[in-house]
Amino acid sequence: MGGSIAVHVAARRSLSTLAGLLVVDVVEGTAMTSLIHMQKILSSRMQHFSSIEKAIEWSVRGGSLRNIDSARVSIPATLKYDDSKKCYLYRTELEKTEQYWKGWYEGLSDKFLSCPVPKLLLLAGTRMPSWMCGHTIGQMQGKFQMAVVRHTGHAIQEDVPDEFATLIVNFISRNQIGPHEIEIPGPRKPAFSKP
Amino acid sequence: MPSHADLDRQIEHLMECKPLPEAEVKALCDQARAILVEEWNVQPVKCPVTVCGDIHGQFYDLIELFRIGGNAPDTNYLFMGDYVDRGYYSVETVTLLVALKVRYRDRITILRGNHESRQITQVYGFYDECLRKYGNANVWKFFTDLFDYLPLTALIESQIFCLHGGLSPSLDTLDNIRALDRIQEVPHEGPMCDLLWSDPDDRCGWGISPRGAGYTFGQDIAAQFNHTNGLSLISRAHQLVMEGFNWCQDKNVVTVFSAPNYCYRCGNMAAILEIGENMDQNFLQFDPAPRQIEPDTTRKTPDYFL
Repeated sequence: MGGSIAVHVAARRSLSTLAGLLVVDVVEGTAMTSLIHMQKILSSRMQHFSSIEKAIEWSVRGGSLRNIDSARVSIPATLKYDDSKKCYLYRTELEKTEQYWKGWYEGLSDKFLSCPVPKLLLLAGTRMPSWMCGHTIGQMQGKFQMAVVRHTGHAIQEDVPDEFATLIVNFISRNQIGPHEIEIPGPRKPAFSKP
Repeated sequence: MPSHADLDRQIEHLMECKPLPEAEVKALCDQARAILVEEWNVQPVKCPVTVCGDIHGQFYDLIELFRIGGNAPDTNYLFMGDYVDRGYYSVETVTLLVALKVRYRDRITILRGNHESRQITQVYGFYDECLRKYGNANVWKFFTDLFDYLPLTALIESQIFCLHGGLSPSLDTLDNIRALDRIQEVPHEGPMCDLLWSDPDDRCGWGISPRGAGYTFGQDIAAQFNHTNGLSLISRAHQLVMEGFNWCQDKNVVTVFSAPNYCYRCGNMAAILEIGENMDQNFLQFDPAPRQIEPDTTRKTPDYFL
């Protein structure tokens, strides 16, 4: 859902300081076809945890994360303690938000492509064929950068944080975001000129 | 040296969209390397010639292209790269084009696209397809090693400059291109990368490419490059265009795209550019081949958590 929020905000052009748009594994086509499976996925999750550590353990062993260190950081904030049931539950009841799901993703591709700032779309390489999931026309028209990150699930920033950080740093650098300009190289003479 | 008869049998086999055995692919790539190593970074081509854009493993659409444009060697061809990835039949497509190159070396020119690369093919499908069809990655290695030898650009009758992507701020002249050491993996940046990744733009001057590699170049850049090098046209591929071809920059540059209904979903036409005996130019547009057989690609239940 976060990707949808980012795209909608960027498309409104209301942030004058917006310098770039990076979307992590959210594409309209894939998201829309996934929605019919979503309640089933949500109901198949472990619902109750005796401790935060158990929830962290489950998120890596049976859930969608692959990096235990990252899960230790991200999972606690998704939980709340239920005094009556004496266990930890998910803070947000995603099942109850179903009426809004379609609205989050419908028209997302066009909104993404309409954003005037540099754009980077990261896709998880384990969903095959991942290159079919992108905004195919826009990508082949050269309108944004796409990076398929292999050996990662949906939460790329959690599963492979170092690689993720490198991609962001390179994106910032290449698009000259920030105070320091990068010179476009001038013509370089070959070492041995031929007449 | 395998005979013409061997090659003809292989080509006939490939025309039915059947992969060659691994050993035959290796032998074919060895022969192709011996031919390509003798070719120039700016490979001279004579007219008449038919110029083609991206194919991307859409084998049956390549057969449709030959039906429209004529079969090799009756028609001379120049392919501007991106033979593999995305489509279902990269193996058969690139093997056929390499076999035709070996069989009719002076009547077909095959250039390098940004997808003729080890790094790109591991992500966008060719590697996985080789694994699936051969059980190991040897054929992928044979081809990606061969890709290093593909010419970067071609020059038709010293007038029409052909390449996959576009221009580079590091390269003013054709001699600059001739001086490059091309036999290597496509670098992440630099002049060789730019030739395979850049795009023309409506804005003047050089720009940062949204693709993350190469540059965008304006009409002023293309016009200057054409003037400096005595060229009448830059013909390139790399970008999906809905009509199959697209003139831009006051006819200094034309984009040719030859994968119809790209990725089996984009709904675009494809085109090829016929350049006649007198350098006359004629675009032939075509639709996807009928009755495409879609191989079963596994559809998993998504692991999306919103």
